Amino acid sequence: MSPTRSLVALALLLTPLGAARAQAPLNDLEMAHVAVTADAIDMDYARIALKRSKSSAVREFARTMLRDHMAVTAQVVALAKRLNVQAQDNAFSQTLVTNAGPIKAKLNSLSGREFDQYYAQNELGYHQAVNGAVASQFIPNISNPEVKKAFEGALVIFRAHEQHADMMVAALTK
Amino acid sequence: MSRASGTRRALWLAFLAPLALGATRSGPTPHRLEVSITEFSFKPERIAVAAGDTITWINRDIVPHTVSATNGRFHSGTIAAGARWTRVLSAADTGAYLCRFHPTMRAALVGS
Repeated sequence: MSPTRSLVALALLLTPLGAARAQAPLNDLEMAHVAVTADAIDMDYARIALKRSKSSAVREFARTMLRDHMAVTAQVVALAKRLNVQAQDNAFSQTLVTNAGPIKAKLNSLSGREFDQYYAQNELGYHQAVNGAVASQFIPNISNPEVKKAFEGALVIFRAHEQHADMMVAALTK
Repeated sequence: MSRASGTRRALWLAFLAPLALGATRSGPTPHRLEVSITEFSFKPERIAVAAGDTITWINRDIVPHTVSATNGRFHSGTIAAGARWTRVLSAADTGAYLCRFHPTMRAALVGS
């Protein structure tokens, strides 16, 4: 494991995301808020990548993150509107936002290959952590069948992102 | 067998034989084929095709995809969620293709 990769993995394990996982299960509206928050954070990372990276592979990945996370957010918002409910802020969402701050600062401080490698490692670690939580903590505890279906669909998308990030990491470490 | 039933049998055979040939893709008539893009997969993942066939990819996901030959022979551009893209195939179109946005999505057009 590269230093950057281990740093990201360690940060994900030691930061409050681990603590948030251990808390009581979230309700459907809180989980919807986490989904929208996680989307927004990954779109922020992608916007930084489009400003700082010159790698066509990294920029294409970032554009895909923007397109796909925007679509997932739009789906969550449309579902909430149709069910006449509103996503609820919660400790997990706040933890994601808190954790993202230093990562954005780090991304904004890097350039060139160093940026590309850190961005790719972070995308892999971020998707692994979020996908793990969605699969094991969220989906089994969702009450509303429509919300559950939306999360299952989103997980398919995010798993593809995780695999894509893995490919990007491998290509950048050659 | 009576003369009447023999005639009926001959007529049925004449009607069914071309259908059977079509099912095995050995006839010269081009086919209209469909590939569904769903849950980040091309379904079917491998499809038998011949020159002149018309194939339509339908994006049933909520995000955009592309249909792009790995050898650069064809590229759909962005296929929006719910949209479709159609191509009349030439003999050179067989081979692997993928989604450029999501390169883990791979499939193949197989010459029949």
